[in-house]
Amino acid sequence: MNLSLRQLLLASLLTASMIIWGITAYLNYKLTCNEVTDLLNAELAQSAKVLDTFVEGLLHGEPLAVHWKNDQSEAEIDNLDLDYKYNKAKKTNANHSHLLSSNPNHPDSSDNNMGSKQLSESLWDIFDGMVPTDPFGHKYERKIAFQLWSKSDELMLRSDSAPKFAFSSSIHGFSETTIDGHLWHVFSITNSDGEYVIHVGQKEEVRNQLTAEITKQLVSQFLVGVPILGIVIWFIVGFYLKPISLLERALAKREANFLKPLSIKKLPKEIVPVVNEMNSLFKQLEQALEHERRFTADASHELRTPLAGLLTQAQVALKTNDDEVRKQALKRIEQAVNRMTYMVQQLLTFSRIESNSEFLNKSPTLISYEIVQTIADLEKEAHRKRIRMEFEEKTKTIIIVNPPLINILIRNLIDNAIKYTPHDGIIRVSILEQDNAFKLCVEDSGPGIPPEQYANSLKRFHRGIETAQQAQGSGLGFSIVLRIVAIHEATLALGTSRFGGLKVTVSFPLPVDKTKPLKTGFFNIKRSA
Amino acid sequence: MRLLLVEDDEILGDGLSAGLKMEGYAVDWLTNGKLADEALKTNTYELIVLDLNLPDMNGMDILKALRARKNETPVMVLTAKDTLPDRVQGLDSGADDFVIKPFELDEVCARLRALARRNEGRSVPTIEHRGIILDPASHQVTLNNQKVDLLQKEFEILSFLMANIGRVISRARLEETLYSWNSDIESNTVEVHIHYLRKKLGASLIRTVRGVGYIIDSDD
Repeated sequence: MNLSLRQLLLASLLTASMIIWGITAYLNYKLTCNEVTDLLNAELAQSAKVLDTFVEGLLHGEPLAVHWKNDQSEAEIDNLDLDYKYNKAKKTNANHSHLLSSNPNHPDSSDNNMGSKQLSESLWDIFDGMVPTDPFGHKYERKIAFQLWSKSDELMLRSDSAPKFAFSSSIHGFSETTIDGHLWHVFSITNSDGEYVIHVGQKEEVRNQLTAEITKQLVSQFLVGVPILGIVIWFIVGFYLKPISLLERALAKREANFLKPLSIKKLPKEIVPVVNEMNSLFKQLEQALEHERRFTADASHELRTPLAGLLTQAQVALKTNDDEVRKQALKRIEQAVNRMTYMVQQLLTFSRIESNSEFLNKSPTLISYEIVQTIADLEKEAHRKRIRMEFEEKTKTIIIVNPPLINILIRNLIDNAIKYTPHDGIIRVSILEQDNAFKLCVEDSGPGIPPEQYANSLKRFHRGIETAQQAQGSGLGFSIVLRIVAIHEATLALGTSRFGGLKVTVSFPLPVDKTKPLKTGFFNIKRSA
Repeated sequence: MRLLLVEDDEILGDGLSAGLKMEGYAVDWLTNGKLADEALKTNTYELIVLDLNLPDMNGMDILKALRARKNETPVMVLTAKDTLPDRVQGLDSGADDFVIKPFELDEVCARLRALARRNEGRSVPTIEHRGIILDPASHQVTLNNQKVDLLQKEFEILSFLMANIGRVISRARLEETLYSWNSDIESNTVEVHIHYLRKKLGASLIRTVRGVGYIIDSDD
């Protein structure tokens, strides 16, 4: 099956885009996953450190209340209001703002007391709380669970989501642990005195959720992008292929015999040579067709006229009571039949030349041999008209031709000369080398052709005015000669012979290459450069 | 009836020439277009048979030139080209009839008679006048239903005069009709033929206009 260029381009461009897109998306995904893991690990560590600082502060440092008191002297420590509300915290001074701002989203817990129990109570929500209705919530909040273990392995504080046993055996750094089939990423921190261990953990699923979100986005981009890309490619390719489809339609609309050249306007540069080649082919084809048309028309005329003559003479012979008229008519009939036989032979020869590939094989040929043969064959006919035939051999160069065709050519030329030459005339055939060409000349002492009629005479079937009466040749002879001349890439010229008649010269170009034409040592002929 | 045949093919031209002569036409046969053109300028013919494919001057050009000179002589064109455009073009150029080679001699003769008849303004094949019925196809003449034997030339003169009833035909014109270039004309032949015609058909039929020629008077 032949795919269209448009389909092929669409398929290949789309496939290439998808592959490149897929690779970059996968790399992006991997990179993002790593970044997300790093980010979340950092977040985990940071959370643990914040918690540690907080707990440390509660246990050993001066209670927060003291700072608070120092800053705001009239405030009482017991009633110190640890207000975590974000908006209020923002107003507090820089010394403790880092502590508060690390948990900016903390939910409502306006009244927290300093005691660890109370504190732990108030802290639950900080880490657990992803309350969707919370106006300060964010979808990228990551659920973090924590545990605070005392030195004596007592769980002092934990978030709701944290298990009651130790998250991890590690007491410092990152570790992973599986609880109830869930993988947890844990960061553990021990205070400098080793009094307690804080474990901060995050479920793998939470992380996966994030990467799934990223993946979802990448896939949805891909799913939306590919059809759009496909449509865009389809239309762009279609747009630029439009001249070709127009060309195709222009060709499809053509009749077989309509061979006008195609327009190359608006065609892409790559197509122009193709169309140019097609146009030159069209031209050749048109010439060939025109040739054939003219030949058929001429042949029909050429056959119909003698047929009409034959029929008319036969009817005259049948109708007449005059014996002399009948005898004359019958003689004419015989003449007409002979003429038509000759014509049919010529037509057959012509069609054989036109169609037979055997005539394409060329071989080194000694032309003088063919000429002598032909003259010997036609001598009888010439003798009947007392025509003297001469052969002048000025070169013995062997040229590469098709021997049967050359034989037909020579026969036709000499035959023609005999037909047009009156009684007691002379015909001279000569071969010579001139201007790097091998020339075959046939000269006669017939009426010749006026120079202004040379062009016309070369047309098929065209017979000269003066000569029409004298010779009963068919114009086919010349057509055959011209065809053979064309097959050999030779040229034919008409001129006036030294006897005042017609001189036909056929020039075969000689190759410039010194190794050709083939010369046999046997003849040992000097050839002028 | 004098006829110009223009045909370059020797055998066909010879056959047509012989066949038409047998039909009683005085045939001038030319094989050359330019000569035919000249002949048409200087001679009067009743009919022209013209081949289109001529060596020097195309038959169509001869025809156009002829019609351009307001010459309305009926022209029958002979052609080997049988395509419709060729025929249409031929008729449009002023040909009166078209015959495609090869053809039957009888058909050509019948068509030529029809052309002559049409040119004389008749639609019936025979000419009738004062009890004389002349049939150009069979060359038969009857007087009061009695067959009259006429010589070829006598028949030609009678049919020419009957085709031109009421018009004086000069002796020269009659000679032209009777003889082609190749035949010898004796100076008194027309008078001799008229004499025999009067003898066979009645003295009053053909009237002599002294110094001018002959006329068959019309009835009105």
